[in-house]
Amino acid sequence: MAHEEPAAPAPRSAPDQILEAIERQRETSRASPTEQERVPYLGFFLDSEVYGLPLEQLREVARLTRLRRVPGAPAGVAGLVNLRGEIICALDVRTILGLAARAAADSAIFVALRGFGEPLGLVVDSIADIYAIDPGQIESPPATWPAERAACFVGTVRVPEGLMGLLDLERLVKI
Amino acid sequence: MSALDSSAFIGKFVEEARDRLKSLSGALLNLEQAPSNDDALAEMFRQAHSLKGSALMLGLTDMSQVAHHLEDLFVVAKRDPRVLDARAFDLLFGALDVLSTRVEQLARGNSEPLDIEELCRKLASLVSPSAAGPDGSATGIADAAGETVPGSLPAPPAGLPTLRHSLRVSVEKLEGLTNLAPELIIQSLKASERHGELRRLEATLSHLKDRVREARLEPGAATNGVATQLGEYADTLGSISRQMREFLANFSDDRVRLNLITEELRQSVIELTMLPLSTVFDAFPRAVRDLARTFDKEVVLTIRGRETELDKKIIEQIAEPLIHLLRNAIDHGIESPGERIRGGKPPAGELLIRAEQEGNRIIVVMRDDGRGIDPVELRAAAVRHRIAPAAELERWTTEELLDLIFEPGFSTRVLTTDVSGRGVGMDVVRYVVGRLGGAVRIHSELKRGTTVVLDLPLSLALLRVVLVEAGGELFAIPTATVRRILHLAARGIPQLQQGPIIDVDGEAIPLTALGALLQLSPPPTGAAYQTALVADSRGSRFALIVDAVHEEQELVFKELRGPLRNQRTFAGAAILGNGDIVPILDVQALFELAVRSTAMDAVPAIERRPAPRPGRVLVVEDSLVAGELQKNILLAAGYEADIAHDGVEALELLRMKEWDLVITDVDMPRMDGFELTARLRADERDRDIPVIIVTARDSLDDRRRGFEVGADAYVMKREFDQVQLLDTVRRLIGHGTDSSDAPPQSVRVVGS
Repeated sequence: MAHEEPAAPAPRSAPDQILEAIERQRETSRASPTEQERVPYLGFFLDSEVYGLPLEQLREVARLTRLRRVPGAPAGVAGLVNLRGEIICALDVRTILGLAARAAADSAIFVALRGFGEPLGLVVDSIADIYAIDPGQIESPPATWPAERAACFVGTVRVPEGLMGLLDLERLVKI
Repeated sequence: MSALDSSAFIGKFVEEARDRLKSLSGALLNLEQAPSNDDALAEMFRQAHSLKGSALMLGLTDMSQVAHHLEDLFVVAKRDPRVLDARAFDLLFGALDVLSTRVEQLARGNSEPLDIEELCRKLASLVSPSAAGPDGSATGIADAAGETVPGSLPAPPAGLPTLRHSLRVSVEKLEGLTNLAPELIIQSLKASERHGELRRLEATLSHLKDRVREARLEPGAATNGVATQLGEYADTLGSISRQMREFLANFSDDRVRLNLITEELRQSVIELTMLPLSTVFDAFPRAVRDLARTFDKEVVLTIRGRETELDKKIIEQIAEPLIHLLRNAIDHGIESPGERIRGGKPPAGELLIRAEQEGNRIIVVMRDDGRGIDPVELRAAAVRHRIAPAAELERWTTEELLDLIFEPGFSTRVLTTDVSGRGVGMDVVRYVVGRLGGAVRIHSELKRGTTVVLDLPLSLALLRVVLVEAGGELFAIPTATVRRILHLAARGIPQLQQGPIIDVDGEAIPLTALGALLQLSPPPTGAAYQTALVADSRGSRFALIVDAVHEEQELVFKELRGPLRNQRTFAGAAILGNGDIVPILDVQALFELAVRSTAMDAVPAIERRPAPRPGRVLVVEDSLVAGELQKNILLAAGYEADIAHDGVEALELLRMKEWDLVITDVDMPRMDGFELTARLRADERDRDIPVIIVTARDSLDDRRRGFEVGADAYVMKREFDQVQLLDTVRRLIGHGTDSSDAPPQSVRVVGS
């Protein structure tokens, strides 16, 4: 009778996988105290460069849908995002870091942050990976970086995707 | 004295003490009016006693001492009410103030005791034998009462305390809930998309079944039993298809139910953030008493509707404006007893505060029967403030003159006394109310009194907005700030030095494009007509050109936060039914932006122009859009028109001005169109004004009822169009003033 195809797993979006990875990370960091000195970071891409922020400051990763521009908003504000009924101000990291301006692509990702007292998020190109970083490996930004760019980072660390700039979020959100 | 570890109980104590102090204050007011009121006295004794006990338990000896003295005084007063003279009442109210201060300090974490020695001495002097009290017995009672064992609660007063089934929940948690309700709606929309997909799938399946049936009949199918097999397949497919249809029907029902529940949830959540007005009103008897004493007035205060609930955020902000109005009424409105008697009024002035819910609005009315506001004084002050030349002011209506008291810095001789030193003027009242999405109206009759009406939204969370489009994007403008929606002929708008100006009802109004203000891409040019909103905020009136006006909606208001907190152009944002975010414009900020940009100059003095009097039509309609539509049609045809939002407002307007025609909707809050018509017909003065009923009700009964109550014409909303309405109007009151020159243009242009 009916010809059935073998059940294939539903294709999962990158954000879903990342979220799972985040959960796994959180569990392991709870489970093994010996690993505690390694701090998990979320790595993401802007153009071909990789940037990182501590998972601790991450609330959620989602596809960027229907970003609402706000006329007259400060330059570092990309607009407003509806995250499950909550209106969140999305920061345009690209502009804040002084990268070439580019409209958010359809594949852009919204990274919602936590711990800033106010709902905030970042618009990024795509997600790279989750990295467990040994704080000892974090170095100062290279001397070749312009000072105003270097000021946006707490440090850099080498990952397979390149030199990952660890964002100073406290500074970033004060635009 | 050993106190318990009190910190854990302070919060509970604060709440309890607030309640007790409130009861004490209420009972004291009652007692002052009727000094032999034993119940009030008993109540006060009970409250003071309980307060003393709780304070002692927590080691708050200063409070317990004051409470103790109060208790003594009440015991003595029970035997001899004469103890409670005017001085005693002042002292008692003072003592309650001290206790309240102490409680509020505790609430803020400050446990520093107050210096109460002086107060206690004065209280004691009231009960001591030397004061005109009873002989020595007072001391004895004081001793007896002092026996309460420290560290233990006094015996509970008669009757069990009422249990309160309530819970403290943080506002943030509630807001979390409010966020989820719209999310549910979006999910439901998604489900409806899935529903569509399934329906298409079912159609494919059904089609496939038909194809299989056909295949069975094809020649050659009969061999090898293929036909039989195909028949079975077709039956199976048919049965699956049937099941799917059933499933779809159920799914659809579920969705409808889900939507209903979601809406209910949204409403319930909003109700959670509401408080009764009693939280503000209950402080008024005391405030009125004090103010009346300060100004040597006699005032009888009546409060109604204290149980009316509205948004906590509104309650918090409305108290100060209300107190200001109260002070105005007692200081300036109500005359001294002597003056009142000379004027043939009872010596005590009447002050009424009334709150009631009307649909989604809360109406707070404050009415006094005092001297009213004198238009002559207002005119004199207007001349002093150089608002307009005297000759011009002579033409202003009382209404327009009264509106002046909301101007910043405007004062007449009668209104200048600022007793509180707080400097809150009527302009601030209007500003606060306006910021809350409400409006203030004032009516005053010389020698008869003044009525101030605050029209407030039920909830700040819910905001009525008009959705407009500019630069291809949607924006929301609070309905409360929108006065008119106009269609302008693009040609012929005069370009003055300051920028374009239009004339609306004889008033010159600066015109600016919303898209240009927000630096959005300009709308396609060349259109013969432009749409503009006349917006009003704190008295600044201006017209905003938009690409289009969409519908009016009720949205859940959200503040903008993060780096957007400090921008002023937008008051907030809201999420539309489809999940899109729409920013909500702050009209006042837009006006300032327009003034700053060269697009427009502030036009401070409003030009007014006497116009020949055209036929005057009152449109009674509770929907803004429908009302504006009718009004514009009438204006375009050369009539004068104004809108009342329900029957009650219509009657008010009818009293104030002469009208030639009334067009009324049927279903409206407060008073519907049938009743309005009936009242007009029963009125000596207004019985001859023609009435047109415009309604969506089309049953024969309604039509009959319309004519029974005395309507002259009955126009159906569904057959409602410009031509028909105008024909009816012309039939009843003749042509408008400039019906000859053709273009349907609702605005006359200045200086053309």
